[in-house]
Amino acid sequence: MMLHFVQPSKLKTKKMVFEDVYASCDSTTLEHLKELSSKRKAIEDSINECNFVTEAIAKEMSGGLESRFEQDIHKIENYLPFLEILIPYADATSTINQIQISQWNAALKIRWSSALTTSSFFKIKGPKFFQINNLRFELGMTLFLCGGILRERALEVLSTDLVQSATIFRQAAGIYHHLAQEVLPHLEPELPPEKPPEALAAVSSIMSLICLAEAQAVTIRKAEEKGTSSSLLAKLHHGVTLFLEEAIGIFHTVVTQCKDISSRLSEFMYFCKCLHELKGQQYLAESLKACGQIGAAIGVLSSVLNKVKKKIPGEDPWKSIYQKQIQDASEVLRKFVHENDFVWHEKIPSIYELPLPEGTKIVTFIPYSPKRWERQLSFKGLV
Amino acid sequence: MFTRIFGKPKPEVNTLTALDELNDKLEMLEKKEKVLLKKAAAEVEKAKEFTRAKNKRAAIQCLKRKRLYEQQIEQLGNFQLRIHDQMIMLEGAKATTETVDALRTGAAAMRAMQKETNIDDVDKTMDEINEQTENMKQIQEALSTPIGAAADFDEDELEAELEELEGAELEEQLLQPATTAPAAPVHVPAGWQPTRPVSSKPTAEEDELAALQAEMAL
Repeated sequence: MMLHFVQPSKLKTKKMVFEDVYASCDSTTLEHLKELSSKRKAIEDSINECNFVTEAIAKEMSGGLESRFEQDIHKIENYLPFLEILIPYADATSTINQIQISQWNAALKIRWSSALTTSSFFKIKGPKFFQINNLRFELGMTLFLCGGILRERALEVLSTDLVQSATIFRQAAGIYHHLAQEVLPHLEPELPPEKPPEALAAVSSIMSLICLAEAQAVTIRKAEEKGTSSSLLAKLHHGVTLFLEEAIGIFHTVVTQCKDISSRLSEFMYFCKCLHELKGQQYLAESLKACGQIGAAIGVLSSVLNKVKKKIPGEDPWKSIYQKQIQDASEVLRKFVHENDFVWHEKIPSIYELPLPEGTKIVTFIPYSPKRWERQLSFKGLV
Repeated sequence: MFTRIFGKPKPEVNTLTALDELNDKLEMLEKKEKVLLKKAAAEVEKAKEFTRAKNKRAAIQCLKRKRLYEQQIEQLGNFQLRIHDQMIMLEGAKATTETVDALRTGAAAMRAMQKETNIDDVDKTMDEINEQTENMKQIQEALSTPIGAAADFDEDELEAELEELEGAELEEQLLQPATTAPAAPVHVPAGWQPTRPVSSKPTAEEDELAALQAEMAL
């Protein structure tokens, strides 16, 4: 019953050659820059789908990783420590150094597409690239991509290993949290008016909450397998809605800053929230019925079904998943109503008398610690 | 000729579906019966209370309501019996259909073996079919027999039942031990409070949550 929103993993970028731009003083620095460019090219080829190696060779190159997503994550994890070394130079204190670094970064032409803008869904002339001359933009977009691919990897292993899936979602949440708290706040003052949504700290906060919601959804799947009680399952599902409601709240503030952010992201959060609300109320209703309160159970189910039927996804696969859940809940409601009519004759309370849902959040993000090689670099033109 | 006499048998799925639905209805009837039994028992308790309060009229009213519930229970029992009958009939009809199919197969085999149909075999088959048909008709006639009208209340019977309740109540009172004089008051020193062990056990839900978190490495 998990909806799929693939966009955060669909970033694209253009070629960058660090050694042609940054002036090295020694062979160590030059070698570092070449390594950096080489590792970045591996990522470029992969996400731009310009890779011409066969699956077998790709597996060999990544040291035996079968999954395409795993291979991509491996490449990014190799690239990031090299890139992190350069970040302190972006915080140059002297004016002369700032001027020099600005010139280099402009010459680098750091360009990334956005997967979360409205135009990116129509793809008439290919993706639009945003150029921002700041190394943190490069770091931010790379980390955002990493989080997006981790989400896809988590969905990939969902059917075979629920624990691993939930853990990967939590790792992705940690990366987005790191972006929102440590990386992007430093970048935002230098953003031009035309910028990708991915460069905003608030969007990373949204993605972090989405990943936590998805991790909790996976945990619920395990709970259902274990035969957990209806009352606890209800709280867990409502916990997912709490994450998503928080994310939706942030989205409303983002829209004011970034008007061309896609409504697809908002719809994804809304429909996920409705599904988990429906499922949570269904479990609450079953719990109430077991306690002999079938009237309240009917009221709870009727109320939530009326709510989620107001808006239906327009396209498959979201639409069919959504309608299936509504159909299942409607069948449960029909049985409850029939039994109440025939056996119990309990009064159905009004909407104001219904028990309020109670949510429990049980997942947290796994903190992300950036790795960085200990290496001294030396550049011409910097004092 | 045989094709017209023997129709296509009902698909298996339809019979099974019908049996499942009948089972569901049966379950519902059983639930309702339990509810009514509880209500009848509650009325008996009320009648006892009114008897203690010397309110004979109210007690009789409770017994009347109990009778009404018992009538409903009896009716539900009849309904359940009808559903059981129908289930048995369905299963019997299924067996009958299979028998007729077998007979048809046998008849077809015999026809294939003999160039001419033996009239004695046909007569025998028809006799068996007629016998089965007659059985079905008898079952349907038995089912269609209307249930007799509810009997009138017998006031004398209610009175007798009430006297029985009174007798039981009196007997219960006689078995009670004599009440003793109230004990002398025990002096408790001022400010002294009995210590109670604080034992708060985690709820089952908390246990479930902890187990889930451990399993998911959260």
